[in-house]
Amino acid sequence: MAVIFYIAFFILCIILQLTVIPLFCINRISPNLILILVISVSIQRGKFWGVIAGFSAGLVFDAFGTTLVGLSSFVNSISAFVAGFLLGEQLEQRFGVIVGLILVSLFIHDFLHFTILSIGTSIGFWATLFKYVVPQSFYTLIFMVIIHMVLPRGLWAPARKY
Amino acid sequence: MRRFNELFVARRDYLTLITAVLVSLILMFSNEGRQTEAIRAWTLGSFGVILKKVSVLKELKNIYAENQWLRRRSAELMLENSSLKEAQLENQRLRQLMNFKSESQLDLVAAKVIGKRESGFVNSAILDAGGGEQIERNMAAVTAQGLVGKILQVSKNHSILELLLDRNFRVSAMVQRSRVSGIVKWIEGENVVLAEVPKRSDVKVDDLVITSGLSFIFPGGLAVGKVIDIEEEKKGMFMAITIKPAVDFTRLEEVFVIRNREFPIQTQ
Repeated sequence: MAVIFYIAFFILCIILQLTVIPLFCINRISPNLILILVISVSIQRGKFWGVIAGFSAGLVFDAFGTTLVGLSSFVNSISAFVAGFLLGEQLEQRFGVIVGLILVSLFIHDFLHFTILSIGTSIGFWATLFKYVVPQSFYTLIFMVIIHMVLPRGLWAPARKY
Repeated sequence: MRRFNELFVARRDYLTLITAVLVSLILMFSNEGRQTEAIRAWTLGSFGVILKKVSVLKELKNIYAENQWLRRRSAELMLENSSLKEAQLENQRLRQLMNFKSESQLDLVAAKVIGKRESGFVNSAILDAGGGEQIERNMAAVTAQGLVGKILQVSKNHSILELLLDRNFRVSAMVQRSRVSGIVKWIEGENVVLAEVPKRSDVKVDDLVITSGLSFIFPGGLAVGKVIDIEEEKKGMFMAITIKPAVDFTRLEEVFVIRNREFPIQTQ
């Protein structure tokens, strides 16, 4: 039951990412809704499900891009694992600590993603870091915190039993 | 066997991660494979149907304002059309006089943008037209303002358009006024650059950059954008010419795909 629920949620997220999220794009930086859900799954359900969710959602999302198929699944899987690893036992911590650890997971995702994409371009390491990686991580984090506050159960509450 | 199962359960998180990473890497290194292409086309076709429905809902709120704008624009274009007809007749007469080959009409098909992927280096749009409309890979897409991109992937009813602002996009272009040519590519931000232009070439701010026509994908004469900044590289032999694209990619809603496969080489 939970799997069907999550699949439906991921499909909805991919559609929103391709239709609504471009409206929030600032200087070619937009929040990553799919990553938000992947990290949320990893925190709530553990690294195993997080990696599976990240890999599958990344693979589908790559079909709509112009670059390497497999890149999003690669970085999503690693980011989901890191989120589950860092936050799996930390849900009782203060809000600030949780947000900080989520930022680390987002940063790892964006760092890997943009660094791989910048290979072969004339954009240097520091420009990639400060123009793409850091803004994208913070933008996604802001979105994630807002969604967490709006949703009744939040994004990192303990998983519900089905 | 039992030990193996126990080991698997104990290490399943790590094993799943290693498997996911390995499969992703294999996919990344086999991107031109037929199976990868087939998976991509299938995913595009499946999600395209839903995206089209969502995009219709999204558009409803804009319909009234758009209708008003279209009425006004229609009147303006009617006036413009009559003066252009005059210019076309004059052009034909002059071409005949100068023994120029008459250019063939471009075969255009309209397609609606039903989704976009905009994220730093990756910039693509999903169109609601595909193989069913005889759209194929590597066909150019334009709007009334100018060049938008080229078709990257096609399924039966949908296609993915690689935008001018994507890291992989390249097009041969030239400055309309001085015929100085180079390669247009995206480097960062909202603008593109005209690269490979030697220092001291005749390029000025506000010059229009158009496609050169030296291509099997893009016909010549399509507006790419206007020059907004010129810098000479300190060490290299070339100029860095920044171009503001003619097309406003934030408002991209509809494009025309050019179905022609051969274009006459521009000899102006």
